[in-house]
Amino acid sequence: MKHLKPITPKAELLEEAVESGTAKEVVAMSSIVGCVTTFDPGWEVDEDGGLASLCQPLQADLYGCSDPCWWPTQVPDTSSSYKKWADKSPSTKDDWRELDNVYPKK
Amino acid sequence: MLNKKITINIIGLVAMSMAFSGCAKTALTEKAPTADSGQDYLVTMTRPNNLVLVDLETNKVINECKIDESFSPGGVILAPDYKTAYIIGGFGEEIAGYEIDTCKKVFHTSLTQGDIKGQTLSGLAVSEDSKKVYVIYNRTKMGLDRYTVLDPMFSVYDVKDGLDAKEVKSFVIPRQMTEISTAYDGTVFGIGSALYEINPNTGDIKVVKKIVGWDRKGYSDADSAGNYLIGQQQGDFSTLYATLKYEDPDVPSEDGTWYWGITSVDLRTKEVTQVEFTEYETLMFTAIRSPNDSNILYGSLNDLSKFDIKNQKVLNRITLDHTYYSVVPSPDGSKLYVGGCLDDITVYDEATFEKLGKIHLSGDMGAAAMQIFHK
Repeated sequence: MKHLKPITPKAELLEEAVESGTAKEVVAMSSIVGCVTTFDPGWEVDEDGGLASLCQPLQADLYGCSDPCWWPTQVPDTSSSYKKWADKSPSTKDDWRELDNVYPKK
Repeated sequence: MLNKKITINIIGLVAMSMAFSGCAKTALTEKAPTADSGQDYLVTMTRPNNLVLVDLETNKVINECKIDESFSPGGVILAPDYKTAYIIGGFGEEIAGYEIDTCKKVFHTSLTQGDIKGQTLSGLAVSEDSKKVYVIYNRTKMGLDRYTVLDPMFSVYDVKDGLDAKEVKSFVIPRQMTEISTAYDGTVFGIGSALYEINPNTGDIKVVKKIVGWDRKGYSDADSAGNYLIGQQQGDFSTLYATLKYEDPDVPSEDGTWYWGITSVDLRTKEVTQVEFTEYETLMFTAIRSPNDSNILYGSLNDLSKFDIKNQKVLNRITLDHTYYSVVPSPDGSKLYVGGCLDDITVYDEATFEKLGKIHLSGDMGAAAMQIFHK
């Protein structure tokens, strides 16, 4: 943990739990359903820092990522908060411009 | 959803209604074709709300049922009688069954009951006699000021209970189980952080193979993500895992070689296999064994690959036109169908990897699975 710096309140709580020896009380959810259950950081590069293992084209991976909210920082949580996000876009390669923009609720 | 090692290291583990039937059939032809005897067919889901039947002789869509449920996440499983397709819809909160020839809606249940939200990503199976539906799902009590995570459940439904089905049996299951499949003798296998054997009648569950925490000398902890409902008709239930073989087996470190492996059940015999089959050269999302030779494995994502499991050899590999999440062989093993992601499925010759054709769909498959059968 010494190389990681928490940037969210939840991550700070986890760090505190590690320091206090209670990390084992932090239990992962039982499956990948919803944006609070995955922690993948980003979509920009693959595991080797390149592009070869990224889905091609980007649109090919859009619904596979948004349905389980795999990349929580790049796609909306369609399972909970933005269920109509893709209603106008049955084909991402043809209709990607019709995807709604999502902004934080104020 | 990709980026395998990051996924591995960070996450862990890792679907126009009509008044009568609740769905409608798109008029693709004047006379609605049906899945007649003597040839191969494919069933899948496409956006925005289609259950699709494809004739694999012509590679044409012959039926497109409009489902009532929202498409998400696109899970679909075909009953062993090849009459009814069961889908996961409503953002993982609903299960429904539709006859693939008539589009008649014959089954529905909601995993969410009152203030307890139930969701599943790919935890759906049908009993071998096609009379029961099995679902594994996560439950969360939705309080006014807090969410309380409850135990995940395995529930059994009677198909004959129809459009207002309630579970006839439920029991708690271990966490991190993501997918289930039914062996030909009726045993249910579940996979996630381990491979489990489940007796749906008694609720007895036992670990058949460890995955997370397998404590195997010389190897890192394995990780896998079982999310694709493929293989039931081919008698295969395989899930990929990746593991680091340490350079020095006595010294766990980041030095070593990454390998792909499978945790697999032959649904015909219940024989379980857990073995590495190739070095980690390309990223794959799914793998499935040949219906003719259990030593032959196919995998896909940006490439389509064919592996000799025992000899750890790549027998063939081609780059695909675009990313396809899954590959499924025809029932006789002679063709390979790659699908998922966008609005097409490509057909390849199994022996040569020559492209034989393309199936055009009216919407994206996303993470929907392909169910290929001979009738």
